[in-house]
Amino acid sequence: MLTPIRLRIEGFRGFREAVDFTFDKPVTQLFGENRSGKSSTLNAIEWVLFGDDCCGKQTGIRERVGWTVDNRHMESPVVCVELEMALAAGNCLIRRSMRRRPKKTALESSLQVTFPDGATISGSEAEHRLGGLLRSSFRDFLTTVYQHQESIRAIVTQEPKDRNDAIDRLLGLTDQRNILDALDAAKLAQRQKQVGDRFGNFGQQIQTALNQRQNDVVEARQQAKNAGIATNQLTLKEALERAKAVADAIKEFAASAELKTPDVNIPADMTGLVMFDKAAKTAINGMRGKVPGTAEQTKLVTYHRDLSTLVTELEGAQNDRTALENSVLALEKEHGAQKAILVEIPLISAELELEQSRLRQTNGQAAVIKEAIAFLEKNLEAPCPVCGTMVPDLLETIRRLWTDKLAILVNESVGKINALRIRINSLREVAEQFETLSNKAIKQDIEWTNQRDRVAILLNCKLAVDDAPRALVEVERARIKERLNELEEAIRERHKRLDDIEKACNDLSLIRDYLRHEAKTAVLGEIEKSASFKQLESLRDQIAKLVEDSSQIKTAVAELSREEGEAKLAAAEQLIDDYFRQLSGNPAVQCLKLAITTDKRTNRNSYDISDQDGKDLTPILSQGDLNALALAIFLGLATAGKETGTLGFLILDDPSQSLGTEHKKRLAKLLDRVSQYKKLVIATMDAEFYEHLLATLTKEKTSYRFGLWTPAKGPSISRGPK
Amino acid sequence: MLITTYNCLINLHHRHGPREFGKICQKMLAISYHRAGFGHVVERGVQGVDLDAANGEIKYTTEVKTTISDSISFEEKDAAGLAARHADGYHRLLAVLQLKPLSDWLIVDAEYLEPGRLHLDTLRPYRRNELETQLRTLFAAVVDEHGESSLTGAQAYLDKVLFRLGVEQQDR
Repeated sequence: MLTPIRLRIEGFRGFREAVDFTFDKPVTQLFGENRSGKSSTLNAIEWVLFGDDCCGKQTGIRERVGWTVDNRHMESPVVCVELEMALAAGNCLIRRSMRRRPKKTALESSLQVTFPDGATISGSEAEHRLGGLLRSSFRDFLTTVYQHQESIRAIVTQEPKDRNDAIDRLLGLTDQRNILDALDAAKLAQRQKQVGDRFGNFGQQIQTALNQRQNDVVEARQQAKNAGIATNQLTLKEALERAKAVADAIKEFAASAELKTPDVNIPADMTGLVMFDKAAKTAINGMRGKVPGTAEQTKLVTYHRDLSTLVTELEGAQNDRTALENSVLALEKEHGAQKAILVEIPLISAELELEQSRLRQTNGQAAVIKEAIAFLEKNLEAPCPVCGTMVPDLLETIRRLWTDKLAILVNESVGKINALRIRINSLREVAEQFETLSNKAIKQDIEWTNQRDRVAILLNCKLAVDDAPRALVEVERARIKERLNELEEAIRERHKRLDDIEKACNDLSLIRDYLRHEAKTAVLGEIEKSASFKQLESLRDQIAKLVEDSSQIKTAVAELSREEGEAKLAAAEQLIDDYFRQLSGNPAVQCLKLAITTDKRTNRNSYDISDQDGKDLTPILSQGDLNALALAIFLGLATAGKETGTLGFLILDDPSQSLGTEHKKRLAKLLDRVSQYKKLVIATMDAEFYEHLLATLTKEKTSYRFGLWTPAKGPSISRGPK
Repeated sequence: MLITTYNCLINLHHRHGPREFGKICQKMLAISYHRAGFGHVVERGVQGVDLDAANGEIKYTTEVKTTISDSISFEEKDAAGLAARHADGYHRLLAVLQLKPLSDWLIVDAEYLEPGRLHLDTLRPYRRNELETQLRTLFAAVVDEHGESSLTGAQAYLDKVLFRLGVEQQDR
């Protein structure tokens, strides 16, 4: 068993200059107020033994988060903690130090261990050997040696899982628990499930692909059936034979059409079929464009169209000419010949002239008569104004002359003149119409001549004067039409042959598609035969074996842990019960029972803490009782007949927290009992408890009093109870 | 499993439902045992272990399960039935057919199996690889031969086949 003898602390946390502590007596007491350095003294023991393991979040201790080891009030701290420990074989010295190298910001730590035989090792080997010597992790140290307040709480106040964990560690069942934790952490079953799920997903993908491909096969088969291809013809052999037939047909057609033979290789396998399909269709399309007669047909179609256009124009022109002639005839019929009209117009003009002259003359006479009448009306008795003769009733006579003769002559003349004017206007109008028609006729003649020329050019011949252009064009058009029909027939026949070849090619494509889909479906079936799949299967088997083995290991380890725990509890049960009753003095508890079972779900030990009637005690205990319970378990196991670790000492940091006066007294008495078995290092700020310890502990003691701590000087420590 | 075998089984499952499908597979497995050279094959419909197959010294008693999921229910009565046959000198087996792509028969030692819901992966460590490979191949051939007729005839058809082969059928 390892027990501390001497401790030297320098530069560690609140410490500046080196300070020595001796643990040569069975009990060492550290007494002082908060922040005086007591806990740092205990922490120094932790640090020298466990290094960085006692720092940070990993420790599970809240105050260790962001914890610093070196004295932050020193400029260039050199941290050094030495712990001399007694072994069965002699003493060993553990020295851990930390310093800041020049020009570096981080602190470098180093460990040196000197063994009883004088051998000194350092570095990682020292860490390894020290670990072997201690046989305790820091977490175990916290619960089996160093009774930290957080550990006390973990035993009774937290989740059953944490309590069970803490008691397991107290019982030295850490290794088993760690094995179980490690096996759980590996989550082998979960990973196995993940692999299985992924395999399942892969299988689903295969299923989906299979369904799709089988649908494609069915569809391809149906399409082939619709094209008249029987199911038993959906073979590679059939496809290759058909390909050969298509190739032969293409060559035959090319020969018959006097075309260059296309380059189409007869396929020998599935790959060849794919290429053949493309080549054949290209060849067929190429030959379509070059079918004999096609060029001539195109040319003749254009020619025929031109002839048709010309016929329409000729027809139009002819109709116009006819219409014009009819118009002329109609005009002549209504008005007479143009010549006659042209002759009549000057005659009518002359007559009109004459009549207008007569009218002028008559008007002259009429003017004289009117004058005479006006004169005579004014001068009734006057002689004739013309001859100067006295004529009886001259006025009357003249008036009668005017009304009976002249007026009639004037009216007649005016009437004639009007009629002549109307006539001449009419004739002129008709003459104009004749003129217009005549001009039209001239234009038509010119156009007709042009059309005749076009006919001659189109027909490439000379037209005689009496040749009927339209008839000539009609004849030519009929001839061309006939030729076109011949060509169309021939071309249609060739295209039909090509259509047949193309159909055969399409049928071949359907067979090929079917075979392709079938091959794709078959590929899925090959997956299981592949080496990769077999390897995967083998790996799955291995995983299953590993999971099974780990399950069996867990069961075995759990059983071992429980058995060992039972044995240790059996040894300590009485003491624990004793200590608890001694500490708590709770009259309701006559017997404390600690039972261990295995939680089937987690394979971990589960501890039931019950009273004499089997009822769970934890709900009815006060805080002091709970602390007492925790202390009882800790101390009971620590002092039980079977040793649970290699460290022969206990560190208690403020164990009297939450204890009343009576509890403190009892604790002091209890610790006296414990000191018979283990070296004790007790730190307290509780003056009352300290006095109880001084008064109660029967073993020899070393006391250190911690006074005021200052940054400049560090803790102020004096040895001695007062 | 061959695609063709799988397709046929899927059709059987769709046509007849899971219960009948299980029985059909049991009978086809019995035929497979017969073709594997086991001279004495017993197929049971209701009471007792599903299949016994014996060939001189080698004697197997097999509980047959089919599933489309990832687990099977291994019941107390199954374990008890196998234990009873084990007392008669039979080696206890569990045959599981998972009807999924890439899956096939698992033939496993049932000696250490506890009753309950068993995930198929947990059976893998107990596989009888040689027997499994043999039966898988034979089963595929049986499906190929009798699958179509089983679609229409179901168990009744296979009963006739078993009768012709001389396979003893109990609990009819």
